[in-house]
Amino acid sequence: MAEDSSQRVRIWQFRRAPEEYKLLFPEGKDHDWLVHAADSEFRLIGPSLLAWGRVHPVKSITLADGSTILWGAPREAAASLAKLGQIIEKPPSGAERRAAARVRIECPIKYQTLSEPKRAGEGHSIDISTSGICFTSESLLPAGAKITVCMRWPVGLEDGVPVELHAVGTLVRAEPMRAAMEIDETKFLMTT
Amino acid sequence: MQIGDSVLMTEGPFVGRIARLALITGQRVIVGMQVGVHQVDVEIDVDWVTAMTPQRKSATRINESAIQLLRSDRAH
Repeated sequence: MAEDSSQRVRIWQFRRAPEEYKLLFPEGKDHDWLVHAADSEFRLIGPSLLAWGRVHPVKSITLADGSTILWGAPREAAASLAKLGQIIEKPPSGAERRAAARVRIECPIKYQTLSEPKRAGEGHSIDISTSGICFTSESLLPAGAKITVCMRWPVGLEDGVPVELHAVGTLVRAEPMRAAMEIDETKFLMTT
Repeated sequence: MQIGDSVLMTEGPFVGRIARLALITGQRVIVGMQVGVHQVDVEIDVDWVTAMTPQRKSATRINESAIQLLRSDRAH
């Protein structure tokens, strides 16, 4: 293990990162991530971090000492889909622009309600935004229930590794064959 | 979690990667992660890793579902 902390790769949730690094990414939000890596470490891990740029916004800045700061915003992945799907709700102007883009895109999903009686099933997404997912369901789901949805993301990493969105949230609308959830937490996982 | 444990990174850009716990310093931990033939030391928040043992309760619901998915994938 390296004794010198400058030789470690350091990762923070954006809100916990050093202020001088946060200032480099004014678009950063609390749940984004920041990484600091020395040049030698960046050569090893940089490609796999930058590969996330196909899925969600990623930026890197090289500092004067040769180290690199990377910023990633997984929560903005839905906005990145706009070039693949049909935008069905134009984002309003102003500060909430990124949060409101809604994109029609059909991807396989699996869902499970987290409260009793538990309901699980499969379907596909109808549209997605950074704050919610509308999807088809096999039955009428209980509105207001907590739910987890796993969605096969339409874009994989550069080396072809597929990724899956895991979202936990609340069912805000339920109809016999479709439902809509408001997202509380999201994360992307490589599925291989 | 104890030094030497295998841990799963549950948040951040290395989510889903397995590493070896090397040091715990308050709210931060240092883990050794294999990158090809190299090992890279990664410093990360303690709540962004979880021990790879069935008894360990994870911090959030989404972590639990992610771990279950990973375990089922690796079992196949």
